[in-house]
Formats: sequence, C-alpha cells, structure tokens
Amino acid sequence: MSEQNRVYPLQFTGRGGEYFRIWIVNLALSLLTLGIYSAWAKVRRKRYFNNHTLLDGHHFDYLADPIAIIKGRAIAFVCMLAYVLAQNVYPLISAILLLLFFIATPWIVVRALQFNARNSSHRGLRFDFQGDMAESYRIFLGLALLSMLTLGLSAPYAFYRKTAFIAGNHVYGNLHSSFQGRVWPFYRIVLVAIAILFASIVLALAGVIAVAGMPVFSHPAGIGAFVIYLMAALMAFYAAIPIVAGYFNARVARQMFSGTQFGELGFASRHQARGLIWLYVSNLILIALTLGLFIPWAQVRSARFWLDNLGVIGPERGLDGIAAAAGEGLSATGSEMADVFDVDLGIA
Amino acid sequence: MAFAADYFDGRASGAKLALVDWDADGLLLTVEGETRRVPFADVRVGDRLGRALRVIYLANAGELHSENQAAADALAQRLGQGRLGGRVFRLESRYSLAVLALLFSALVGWAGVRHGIPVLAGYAVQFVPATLEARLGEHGLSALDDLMFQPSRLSAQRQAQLRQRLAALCRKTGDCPPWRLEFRDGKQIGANALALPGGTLVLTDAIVSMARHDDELMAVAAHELGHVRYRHGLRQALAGAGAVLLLEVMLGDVGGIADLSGGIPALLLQTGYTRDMEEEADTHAMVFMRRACLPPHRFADILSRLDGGRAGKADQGEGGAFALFSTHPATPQRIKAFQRRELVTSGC
Repeated sequence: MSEQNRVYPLQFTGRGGEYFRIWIVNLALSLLTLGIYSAWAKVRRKRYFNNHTLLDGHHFDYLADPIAIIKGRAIAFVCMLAYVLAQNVYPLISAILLLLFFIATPWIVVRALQFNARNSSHRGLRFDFQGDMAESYRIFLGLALLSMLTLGLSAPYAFYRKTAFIAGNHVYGNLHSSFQGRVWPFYRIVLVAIAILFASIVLALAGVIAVAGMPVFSHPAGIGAFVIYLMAALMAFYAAIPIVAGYFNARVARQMFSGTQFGELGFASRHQARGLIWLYVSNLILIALTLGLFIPWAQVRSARFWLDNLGVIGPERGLDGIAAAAGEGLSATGSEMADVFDVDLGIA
Repeated sequence: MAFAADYFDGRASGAKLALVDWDADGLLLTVEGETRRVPFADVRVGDRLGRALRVIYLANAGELHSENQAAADALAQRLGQGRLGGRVFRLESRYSLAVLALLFSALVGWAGVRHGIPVLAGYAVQFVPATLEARLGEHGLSALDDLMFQPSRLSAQRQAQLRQRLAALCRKTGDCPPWRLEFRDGKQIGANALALPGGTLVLTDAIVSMARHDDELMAVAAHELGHVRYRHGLRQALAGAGAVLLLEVMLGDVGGIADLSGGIPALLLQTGYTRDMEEEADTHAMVFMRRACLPPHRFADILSRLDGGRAGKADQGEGGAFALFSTHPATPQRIKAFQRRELVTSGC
C-alpha cells in the first residue's frame, strides 16, 4: 500500500416491494412443487441480493446450480427423517446419529462456506473458500468442547478463532484474504453484552419494585410476588435479546472487517450498534404485526444496513486491476470443482 | 442491434469496453479493435430478475455486462433461452399476482397440512416394515408406562379370560391383524382403550369395570383392531413428523416462516385420530361384530356410557398411541349408527 488509497463504498440497490414479489412467488411455487422449486427460489434470492450489491459500479453475482442445492436438501431431509424416526423407534440410534452430526459439523461448515463462495462472483471472477479442514475441526469441535469444559470462559476465544477462520480463508481470483484481529476485543464485546443483559433484568426488577412498592428482601412476599418478579425478569431477558444481539453483531462486524485484508484491499466498517439494534427491534415488531409479510422488506433493510455501511479501501487508480484468476486453467464455469460432494449443505 | 458492454474475460478483474452484435451464426464480439465470433451454443443469457442486470455468460468464462437491457432481452429471445425464467419473471412483476400468490400460499399451506400430508403419510405407510412399526408401538407403550400407566389391578384370570374371548372371536371371523391385548391402570385417562402401532391393544381397568357385558369390551377391541389393521397410529406418527420436516425443507428458504409455523402442523395433526380414521375403525368394528355374531348395540351401549361419564374431557394419546375417544364431537352419531343396524346377520 505504497500509493494513495481511497474508500470505495458498497451500495445496495434492492427494493423491498420488488423483493416482496419475488419472495411471495418463491413461496407459492415452492408449495406448489412440494419444495422442489425451493432450490430455484434460493438461487433467485441470492442472485437478487448479489446483483443489487455494487462495488465501484460493478455488481456481484450468484451462479449456483439449483440441482446441487436440491441434492443438499435431499440429503438433509433424509438425515432429519432418519433422526426423527429413530427417535421414536430406536433411541440409541438417534443418539448415535446426533453424535455423528456433531462430528460432521466442522466438515459441513467448510463445505457450506465453500459452496457459497465458489458460486459467488464479481467482475467475472469467482470467490473461493480455502479453510483447512483440520483447523475447522480444531475450532468447531475442539474449541466448542473446551468452551463447555470451561463453562464458557473460553467461548469468546473460540468465537475469535471462528471469525479468523472465516474472514482469513476467502479467496478472490488470486487474492487470498488474511485476518489480523486480536482476541481481547472479543472478550470485551462478550463482557459488555452480558452486562447489558444483566442491567436490563436488574432495571426491570427495580421498576417492578418502584411501581408495586413491594419490599423484596425484608420479608417473604409470597409466591405471587415471586411470580411477578420472575415474569418481569423473563420479559426483560427477551426484550434485551435484540439489543444484545444488535450490539454484539455490530461490534463483531467491525472487528472482523477492520482486521481483514484481501491482498492490497482493506475494509472500512461504519456499522453502529445503535443502527443495528434499531433495525432488529423495528423488523421484529413489523414482522409480528404483519404476520410475517414484512420479512422481505426486513431482509432488504438488513442488506442495506450491512452494505451501505461498508466500504472497500483500495488504490486511488481504481479497482479495475485488483485481481486475476488464480491460474490460467481456472475458468469461471466452475465445472472442475464439481465433485460428488459439491452440494449445498448450507441448511441455515 | 449492436450494443456496448463491459467485457470481463474471466482471467482478470478489469473491464474492457466491448461492442457486441450478432448474426445468424453467433455473437460478434469486438474488444480492443479485435472482432471474434462466439457460436450461439457458447452463449447463455442470465434469467430476468427484477431490475437486476442480465449478464451474458460466455463459455470461456467471459461475461458481458450491459446497461442496454433491451439488447440482452432480444439476444435471449434469439437464443430461445430463459422461457421458464421469463414466466417466473412475469409472475414476479405484478402486485396483483403477488396478492394471488399470497392467497394461494395460505390456501395450499392449510390444505397441505390438513389433507395433503395425511394422504402422503397413508402412502408412505406401505414402505414401513412391520417390525419397525412394532418397535414404535413398544417404545410408545414403555413411554406410557413411565409417564401415565400403573400395572393393572385385574386378576390374571380375568385378563386371560378376556384374551381368550378375543382370540376365539378372531378365529371365528378369521381376519384379525396380529394383536396383543394388554391391561393397565390408566390413572388420569380413566375408562379408555388404545391401539398402538404394531398391534398392541390396551384396555384400562376402568373401562373393564365399566362394561356390563364382556361383548362390550370385545366391541371396543374390534374398533381398536380397525386402527391396527389400517395402521392409523403409524400414519399419524408419520404425518406429524412429515409435516414438520416437509415445511422445514419447503419453506427453509423463505426465512422465518418455517420457524414461526413449525409448531402449528404438529398441533393440527396431533389431536388424535382424524374423523375419517374413527369412521374406518367403526366400520371395521361393525363388520367384525356381525361376523362374530355380536349384537352391534353392545358398542353403542359402552360408547354412550363412556360419553356420559367423560363430559367433554379430551383424551389424547402420547408416543404414537391414540385414545379411543378423542376430540371428535360426533359420538351421538356414532352411537346411532350401531343402534340402527340392530339386526344381526342370519345364521347366528
């Protein structure tokens, strides 16, 4: 980065009304075809969002083959069916299946990231994900177990490693991403999130005491008062979830983007916790009031928040020459990467 | 029809200005003063999707992005591509159609859960081996034993007497599915009878003592044998599991909806046997009783006594077992059916 840099803003140009029509047609056709169309629906949804994401005037693209998605869904369906049936007939087998699923999770994570990256493109070049499978097992199995053993004390570290794994192993053409973030901010974010949660519960209890004027500790207030306190604490907990999630996700996004480099390119994140909390709360309320019909608008608003607050730091001369294909033989048609397991396992 | 486009060659991220035209044999691509011909077989135009740019994909991994969407549309038409995508696009482009799709989705969702899935489950039942069904029943019985049942207080002699009576009737009619008659102290489910998948019939102590004639118990057993014969328990179990799984797969892409509605189909389906199933079992009981020379009013007698004693108490089975008298309000009609056909077939 010897020469002058500037920020190229990302832009999202999708519109809620337009996406609503795509969403509802996706839903109707998925129902009509007993779910088969849902693979095409996914491609149209991903394409809509990628096509409306612009960087320096050029859009992103999504090129997945719906057949690969159908295969992945069929596999997931059969596995779930086997699990549900086993649960009612052979509980031992269902426990074994659950264990197998747990063991397969790191593999599934890498496969899903790979599928998504390899089918995303920009300026005619594909992305890729080249995370190491052994590292995936260390993070999603080893560190996950460690978090349980340490009663969550190492969970922020596990989360840091997960972020580093995902942000540091993407490939665009011949550019390999790297992540240089530190672990301490992750601990700070988790501590503040827990503090927000506790504060809201304490606040709710204090509110109940102030309104009802019930002495808490002086004498036993009876089971009725206890239930009221419990309800207030529970409601505060649920109300705090979007706030905590908004704070957490916005701060983690900042850590992730500011620590990630793509060759000579960096990221500028302006994601604010305040904005994300407002997005979550308003989306939740509107989705509930419209019985779910607001979901497409919520998704568009969410994309706009994430993309409009993100910029790519690149050379002053423009982003035209930022990358080349990794090798002469690697075409964007992606046929060489098709293998038996080239299925979409991104179930979530 | 010549038009300008950004050409990405799939090897570098830089865009080159291209002049595109086509004749009878293929695409004519002029980049940096050099014109080459791309056969139509190597050209694919992306499907229309809202206002998103239609990308022209070339077989050598090249891409053409043009603001001139009319030209891309015309090229797609010339190639005869995107007809299906075009139809979907037309569905997606009007609000009136979106409203129709919304109504359609609601209707299909309701009808599918209420009627479609039970039919599918009835079909899927054929593929479940009897041994698996028997395991399901055993599992269900042991779950009921843990949760609800106490060992029967009936004497072994009385139990054996009723078993022998049913066995004798089965020999007479010659068409009983494999069965096993069990007795339990039913506690809160009171006077009741259950059929578990695989052929285990359970009579509660209360129903045995309520009966004024053993033939009344045989009539109840005949009804339960109907559930066993038509594998109603298994059908309901499959429908319950299938509804959740299918919705998850079909709507997995819609985001949120499946999570919101995940519990609903299970609720709709788990209210015991459907009315059709009860009718089927009643018909089975009727035929059985005529063949076994039992007067049909025996079933009506115990049914009306049970109905009077229950006073609207809803009994629901658990773990794949369903109560004889569930939430169906038509008991008087059922009683009438057995009273009307008072006549016993000749030859008895």
